Amino acid sequence: MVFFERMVRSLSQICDWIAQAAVVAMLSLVVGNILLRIVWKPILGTYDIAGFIGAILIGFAIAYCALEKGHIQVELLVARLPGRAQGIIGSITGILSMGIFSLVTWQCIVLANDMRRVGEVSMSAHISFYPYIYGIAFGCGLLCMVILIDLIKSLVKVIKG
Amino acid sequence: MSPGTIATIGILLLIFLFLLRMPVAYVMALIGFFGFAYMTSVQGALSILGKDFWVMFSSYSLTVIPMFVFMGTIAFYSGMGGRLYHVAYRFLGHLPGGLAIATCYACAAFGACCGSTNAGAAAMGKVTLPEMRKYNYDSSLATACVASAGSLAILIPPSTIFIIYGVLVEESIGKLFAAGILPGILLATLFALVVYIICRQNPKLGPPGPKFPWKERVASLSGVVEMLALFLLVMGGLFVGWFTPTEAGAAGAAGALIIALLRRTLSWQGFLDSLADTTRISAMVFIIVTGATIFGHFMAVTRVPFDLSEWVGGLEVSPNVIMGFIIFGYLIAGCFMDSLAMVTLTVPVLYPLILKLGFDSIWFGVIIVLVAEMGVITPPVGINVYVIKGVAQDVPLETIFRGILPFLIALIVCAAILIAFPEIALFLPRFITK
Repeated sequence: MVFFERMVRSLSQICDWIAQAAVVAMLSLVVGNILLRIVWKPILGTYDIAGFIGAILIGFAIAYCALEKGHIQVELLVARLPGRAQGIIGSITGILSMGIFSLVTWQCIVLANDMRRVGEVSMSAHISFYPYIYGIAFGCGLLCMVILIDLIKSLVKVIKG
Repeated sequence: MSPGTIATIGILLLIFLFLLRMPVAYVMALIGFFGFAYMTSVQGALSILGKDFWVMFSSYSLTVIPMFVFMGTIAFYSGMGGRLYHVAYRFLGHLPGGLAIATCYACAAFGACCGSTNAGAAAMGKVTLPEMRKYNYDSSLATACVASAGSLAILIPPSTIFIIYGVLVEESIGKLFAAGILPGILLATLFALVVYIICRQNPKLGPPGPKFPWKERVASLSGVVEMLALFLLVMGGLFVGWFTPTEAGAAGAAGALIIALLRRTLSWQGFLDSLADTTRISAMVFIIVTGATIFGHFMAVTRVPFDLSEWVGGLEVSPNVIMGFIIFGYLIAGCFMDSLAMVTLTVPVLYPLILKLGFDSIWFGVIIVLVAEMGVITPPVGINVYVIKGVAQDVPLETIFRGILPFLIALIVCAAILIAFPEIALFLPRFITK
């Protein structure tokens, strides 16, 4: 469990660094496009590329955000319950969360496969969609791993009380 | 089961899972998926899951969020809030409750560089609370003032709530930004008035600070120049039509970065921290908007938002009275829910009703931001109060919440003024071309 948690944490951190690089890339692209539009001509496909960078930024940041407890949750009730009850509730919500994000991961892979098969590309820059959808699928898969860690911790709470 | 019953069960399950501490975005995606699957088909629901995540994550119009968040985090880590307070303090500090009044206006000015209430409250809390403490300000007034005024960051553009509202209802983000300016100035003034009245009645709560000579006041104005430059760059670009909102955000972030580098106020660590905060906040916002989109599909197939608008729209009651009830409902919901979650969840449901009642969608965006501001300061889950508690750890939460009431009344008064005079919000958007 310790090894698994360390591995997921390291991978999530690396992905977040990639997301941070995507912020800088997006800023550079959009500002570069403004400047080039003024002095010469705009960068072809800026809107498409900015959207793709956005997909990588968010897809690669969601797991680390979950690890840092960044996703909004209502802390009103459960925090006041005893440890074992918190463990039971955490296990139930963990299974539900894992379930929905496993489906999202699977469906992103299905969508990427479809896009790859039909060769769908963006309107102006003619860039393939599918690699970025695989990227989102990877991010969602990693989020499942983060949720799994919390789920295991909740189950331990249920057993040990 | 009728679609209305299914929608009601879905909403009740949603609230139940919220209370079980399951992340709000996950719950909305989960209930939205199962509801949509029940109403249409499992295959249809599966395909919207993949598509919605791809479409929302890669949406060009949503790339505006990381850009403006980055601008705000750079402003935060480079200490712009401190310099703005320095100016307001020199001009207003000598009045009864002057330091708190200065806090209100400094928060409003910081809102012009930052679009998140938490960052607004944290940045200004760190700067203003030690000063107010030095002059023996009542801790309840001081903390409640900065918690409330910190929320101005989402009313004065740029604002994450305006962006999300704009994306949800497909309204111009530039116009929404413009709509927030005058109500933002009005609300800052109402907050300042609250402080002034409280301190006139009981001067011990907010003793006046030192009076600075005009020479020193004028010299301090350099602290406002950078904020004005950024604001003019972002809003000017939008007003004139040079920039799309994403470009305005990127230009603002680049501008904030250049100012911070020229002033040498942003360390390498500060830069890395601002990047890390940007990815964390952006991921949180995107996933909640995506969850709300999936839930919105479910609501749409049940036709509940449209039936609701038909039913309420058919009542023989003044639209303003209905708006009063909607605001009251938001005030109650904001006590228990995060503002961002509340907005993403309710706007798609209420929007058809708002249009049916004849309200302007830009104007309603401003009302939504006001109720979101109420949500961040009302107990028990007022996030800004917790942020201020983190800054002033020795002040009990109850003390901060006790001081909130007059500021909450100011917010309600601001909403009432906007209902009576919608032009305050609608005047500036007319000049926006994009």
